[in-house]
Amino acid sequence: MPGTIELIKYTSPMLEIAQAVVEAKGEELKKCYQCGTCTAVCPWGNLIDFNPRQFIEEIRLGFEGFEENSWKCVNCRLCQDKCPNQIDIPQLFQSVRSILLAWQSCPSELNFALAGIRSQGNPWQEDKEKRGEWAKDVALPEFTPGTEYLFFNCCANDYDTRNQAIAEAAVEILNTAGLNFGYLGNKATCCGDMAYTAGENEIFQSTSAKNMQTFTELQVEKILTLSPHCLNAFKNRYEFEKNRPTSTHLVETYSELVKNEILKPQFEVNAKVTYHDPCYLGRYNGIFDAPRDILQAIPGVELIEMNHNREHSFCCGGGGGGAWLDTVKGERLGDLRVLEAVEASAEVIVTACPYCVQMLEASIVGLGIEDKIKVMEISEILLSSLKQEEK
Amino acid sequence: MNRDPKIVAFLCHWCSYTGADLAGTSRVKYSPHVRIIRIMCSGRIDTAFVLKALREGADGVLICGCHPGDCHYQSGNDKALKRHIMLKQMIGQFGVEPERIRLEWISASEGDLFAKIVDNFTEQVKNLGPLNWKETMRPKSGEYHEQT
Amino acid sequence: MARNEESRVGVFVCHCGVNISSVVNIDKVVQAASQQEGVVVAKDYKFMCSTPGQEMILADIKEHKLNRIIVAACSPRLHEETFKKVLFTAGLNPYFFQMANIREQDAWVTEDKELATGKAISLVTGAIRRVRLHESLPTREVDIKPGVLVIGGGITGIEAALQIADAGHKVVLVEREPSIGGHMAQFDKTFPTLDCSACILTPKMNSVGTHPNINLMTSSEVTDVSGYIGNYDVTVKTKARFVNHDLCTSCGDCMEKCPVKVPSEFDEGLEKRGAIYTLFPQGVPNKPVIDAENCLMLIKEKCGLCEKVCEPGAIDFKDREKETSITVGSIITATGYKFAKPSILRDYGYGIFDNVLTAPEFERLNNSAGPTVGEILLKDGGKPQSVAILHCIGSRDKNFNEYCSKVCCMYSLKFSHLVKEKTGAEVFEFYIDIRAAGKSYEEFYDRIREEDVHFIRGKVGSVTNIPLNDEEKGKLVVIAENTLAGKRLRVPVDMVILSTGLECSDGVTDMTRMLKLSIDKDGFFIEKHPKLAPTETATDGIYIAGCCSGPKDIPESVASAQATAAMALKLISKGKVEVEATTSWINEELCAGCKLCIGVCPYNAIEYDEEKGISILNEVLCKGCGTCAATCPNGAAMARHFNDQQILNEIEGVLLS
Repeated sequence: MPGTIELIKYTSPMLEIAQAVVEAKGEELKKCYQCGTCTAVCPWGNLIDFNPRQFIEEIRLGFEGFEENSWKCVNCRLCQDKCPNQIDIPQLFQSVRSILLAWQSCPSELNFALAGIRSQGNPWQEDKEKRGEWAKDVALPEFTPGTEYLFFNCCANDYDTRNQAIAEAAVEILNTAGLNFGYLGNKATCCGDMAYTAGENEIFQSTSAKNMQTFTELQVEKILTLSPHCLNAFKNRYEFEKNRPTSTHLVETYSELVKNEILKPQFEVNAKVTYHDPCYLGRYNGIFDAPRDILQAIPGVELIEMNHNREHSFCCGGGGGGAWLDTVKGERLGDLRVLEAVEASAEVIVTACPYCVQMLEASIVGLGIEDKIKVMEISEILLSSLKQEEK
Repeated sequence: MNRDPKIVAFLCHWCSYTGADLAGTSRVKYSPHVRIIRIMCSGRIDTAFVLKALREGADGVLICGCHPGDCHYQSGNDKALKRHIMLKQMIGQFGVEPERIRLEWISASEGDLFAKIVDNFTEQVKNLGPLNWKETMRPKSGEYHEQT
Repeated sequence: MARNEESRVGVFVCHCGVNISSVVNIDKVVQAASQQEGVVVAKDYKFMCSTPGQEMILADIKEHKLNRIIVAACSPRLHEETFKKVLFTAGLNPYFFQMANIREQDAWVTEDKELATGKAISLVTGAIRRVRLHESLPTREVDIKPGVLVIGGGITGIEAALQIADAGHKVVLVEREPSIGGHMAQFDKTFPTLDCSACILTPKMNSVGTHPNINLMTSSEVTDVSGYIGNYDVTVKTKARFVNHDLCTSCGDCMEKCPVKVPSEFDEGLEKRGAIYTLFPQGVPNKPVIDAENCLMLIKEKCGLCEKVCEPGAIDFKDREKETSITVGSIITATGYKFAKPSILRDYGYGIFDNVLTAPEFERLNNSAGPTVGEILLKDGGKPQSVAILHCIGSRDKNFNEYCSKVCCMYSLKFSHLVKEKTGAEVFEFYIDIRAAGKSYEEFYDRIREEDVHFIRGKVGSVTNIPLNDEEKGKLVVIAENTLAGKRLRVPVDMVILSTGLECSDGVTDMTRMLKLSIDKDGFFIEKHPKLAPTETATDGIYIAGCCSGPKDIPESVASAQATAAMALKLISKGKVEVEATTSWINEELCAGCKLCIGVCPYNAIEYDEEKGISILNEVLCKGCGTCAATCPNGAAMARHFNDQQILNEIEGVLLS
C-alpha cells in the first residue's frame, strides 16, 4: 500500500531449520546453553567476526544469516574440547552443510573439490590413472596380500609436486628401516575426509566403501598414513563391517623406530625448530609427544614451542574444507600461525600433515617472509638427519 | 524372532531396583519385554530361579546387583558373581547359549545405564531367537520326571 | 497345597492420576487379575494411596474377608509401608501384602500402550502367585540406644550436635581436622547479609567444646560401623596428637618456637604454619597438635624445642593412635564438601601466573585473620586496579561436574562487593546465568549491580599474559565473548578469581561402605526420597545433613542439620523401633550340617552346633540378604518373605502370557 511503512520488524522462528539439522545428525544442538566459550576460544576470533555460539542460536531458531558462516569452521575442535556441554560443534557444522548441499548452496571451490572426489577420486580433479606416477622412480613396491604395511599416501602427496617430496622422503625412511610395506598406486582413492567435513555424506560413503573394499580384497591389516586426515578417517569414521585395520600415522612409526635405534638421526640439523600440531593428529587423536620426541632426537635441533601448542594449538586453516576455499589476505589462519612461529623466533616449522604444509607455505609466501622461515614435513627433517644430502 | 522376547530380570533391592526406579522417575524408555523381580540381594539368586525362568518360557535372564564393594550386605554380589560363572557353564551344558544370561552391576544412580543394558540385552536375546526350552527340553524316556 | 485354597486375594490397581492410566489400560489389568485363581475382588482407583483409597481397601478386606492384598501402583520403595499399615489396621499380618510396580517400572518406561498393559498384567499375575504363599511374620522390636554419632564438625555437624545435646542427649562429634569449624571458619563474610562468619560461628563452636553432653573427638575418623538402627557399634580412630590436651594451657609458646614451616591447609597454602600448630587461632579445641609428617623430632629425632619450652610438660612424643569403640542409636553424616580443583584451572592461568586465585584462596586473602590481615593484595603487595571473577569453573561443565554448585553465584557477588569496598577496583563478573534464588539474594544481586560491578554474560575461554597492546602489558588478559552483545572481549585485569564449585569431600567412598549408603553419579549421598525424605537414607537410623548430599548454602545446611537432629531425637523419644522380620532361618530337620551357609554369611550370623551336627542361625545378627538360602543345597536355609517357593511362583506368574 502506498504511504505505509513497516514500523517494527519482528523475526519469526523457523523451527524447521533446527529440525532438519537435528535429523542430519545435529541433535547435539539442543545441549547448548549459550555460554560463549566456543566463540571465546575459536581461532577465527583473532581475524574475523565468526561466532560459533551465535551460529548455534541462529540455526536453533532458524534465523537468517547462518548460511554464510556455515563454511567457515575449520573443524579444529578447540571449541569442542572446551565446551562445557561437550557438544560436537564440528559435527553441527557438518550437519548444516549437508542441508545446504541439498539446497545446492555451496561455495564453488568446494563444489569443484567434491566433484573431483566423485569423478577422479581426488579433490583436484586430477586423472585417477596418474595417481601413482610419482612413484615410478622410487623404491616403492606395490602392496600385495601378505605385505605387512600399507603405505597410504594422501591425494595431496600423490599429485602435488611439492608434496611428492614428502612421500619420497617417507619411502626412503621406511626403506632405511627395512619395513615390509607397499603402495596401492592407482587403486587408492581419496580417504573422503574432506567430503565428510563438507557435509557430503554420499560421496564420503562411496569413496570410503571403495577403499574398504580394496583393503578387504588385499587383506590389509596395518595402514601407515602420512596424513592425519586419512588416519582419522580410517580410525574413527570408516564403518568397517568387521576387522578394522590398525592405522598408524608415520610420526608414531618414526618415533618408535628412533626409540628402538633402528633409525639413528646422526647428521646435525642446526636450526631453531617449532612444531605445529595438526588438529587431526593432536586434538583428534591425542598424538602430541611422538613428533616432539623425533625432533629432540635430531642433533642440532633446538625445539621451541609456540604460544598455542599441543591441546591448544591453532589450526593452519586447511581443515573442514578450508584448504579449498579462497580466503582473502588478512583473514588467513595460516598467517596467524606462521607469525606465531616467527614471534617464537623459529626458523623452521615442522609439521606432520600434507595440508598444514601447503597452508603454512602459502602463508609464508603471502606474507613475503620466505627468508625468515620455512616449512618442513617431519619425514623431510628426519631424513636429512639420517642421510647426508646428495648434492 | 517371530514373537516378542521374554526376559526376566532379578534386581537387588538396594542398588539395581532403585536404579530401575530412577529410570522410571527420569522417564527413560526401554524395552518393555523385561519382567523385573525384586530380591533383597543378588546373593539371594538361586541357580534354580534362573533355570525356572528359562523353563517357564523366558528367553533370557538378567541379574543385577550392586557394584563390587557396594553390596548392602557386604559381599552378596561377590557370591552372585561366582555363582553366575558356574551358571553360565551349566546352562551351556544343557545346550542353552550362555549369552542368554547376563550379570550386571547397576547402582542406585544408574537409571540410564539400566535402561541401556536392558535394551542391549534384549537385542542380544532377540538375535539368539526364542528359546522355548520347555518344548525343546524333552527328557529322554525314564531319565527325568517333570516335577510339580 | 491346602493353604493356598484358603487364600482370598484382593487386587487394587491404581491410576496414579493419569501417571499410570495414560499408558496402561487399567480395565484390562483389573479384568485379567480378577480371573486369576484365588482372587476374590479386583478393583481400580484414581489414587490408591489417598485416604479414600486406603479406606476402600480396608472396607473390602472386611466385606470380602480378604487375607492377601496386592496393590499395583508405584514402587514398593515409595508406598509399601503405607499399605502394610492398612493391613495392620484391618487386623491382617502386614506381610500378607505385595506390590506390583506398574509405574516406575512400566508406565513411565514404556511407550507402547499395549505392551505396557501386557507388562502390567504379567507383574500383577506374578504378585498374585507370590502373595498366596506369603506367611504371617511376627514384628520385631529393638531398643534404641540413646547416643547419637555426628560425623563431621563443620557448621552442619556443629548444629546437629548442639540440637541433640541441648535436648539432653549424649552426642559424639567426630572431626577429621584438629579443630571443628569446617569451611565456614575459613570465610570472613557470609552472603547476602555480609555477617561476619567468625562472629556467628565461634559461639557455636565454643558451645560444642564446653557442652556436657557432647564428646568432641577431633583429629579422629570413623573407621568401622556395624549393627543396625538403634544399635550401631562404631570404631573411631584418633590420630596421635603428641600433645596432652589435659595438661596443655594453650599458651602458644611451642608454636612460636617450632622451626618448621609448611603450607597451612587452613590458609589454602597462602600462609605457613609450624609442625606444632592449631588449625586457626579460634579453633576448638584451641590446643595444638603435632603433625607427624613434618615434625623434626618425629622424623629425625632432632629438635624437640616445643618440649623444652612447654612448662606444663604437655608434649608427648610417645603418643600413639587410639581406637575408641562407641555404641549409638543413630548416626548423622555431615561430611560436607571440598572445593573443586578441576584441571581446567590451568587454562585460566592458575598455577602459572601470580594473582590467579581460587575461591577458597580469595576467602583467606580477604579474611581479617588471614595472611594479609584482610587486605586484598596482589602477590607483589600492590592493590589491584581491576579484578575479574570467573563463574562456573568446573561446575555446569560436563568435562568436570555437570551440576550447578549453587553457591558460587552468590559468593562471587560477595567477592565483588568486598573487592569494591576494600580496593575500589573495577570488577568484571563473567557469568553464564546468575542464580540468586534465596531469601534476599536477588536484592543482593541488585545491590552489587548498583555498586558498579560490570556483569558480562559469557564463560571465559582463557586467561593469557601475552599482550596485544600497551594497555595489556603486565596484565592478565581475560578472553571471553559478551554473548549479549555478540562481541569478543579481551579484558586486562590485575587479579583473576576462579569461582570453583563444590564437590563431595574426600573419604566419601569409605563412608559409603561403612554406612551402606548409596552415592549418586557425582559422589553425593542419595536421599531416601529426594523430596519427602531429604535427610533420611536407605539405611534406617542413618541421616544425612549439609553438603554431603549436594551443594547447600549455610542456611540450608543448618536447616538440614536441625532436621536430622529431629530425626535422631524422634528415635530416642520412641525408645523402640520395629525392624523387618524378614530374616533367614534354618529348618533343623533338613539341615545336613554341611556348613556352606556359614561360609557365605557376611554377618557371622550362622554357627555350627557341634552337638546337633547342624547350623544354627542367630536372627538378631541376620539382616535377611538370603545368600545362605541361595547357597543351601538342601533347602534348609530359608529367607523369610523371599523363600524359594514364593520367588518361583512369582517367576511363573510374570511369564504367563
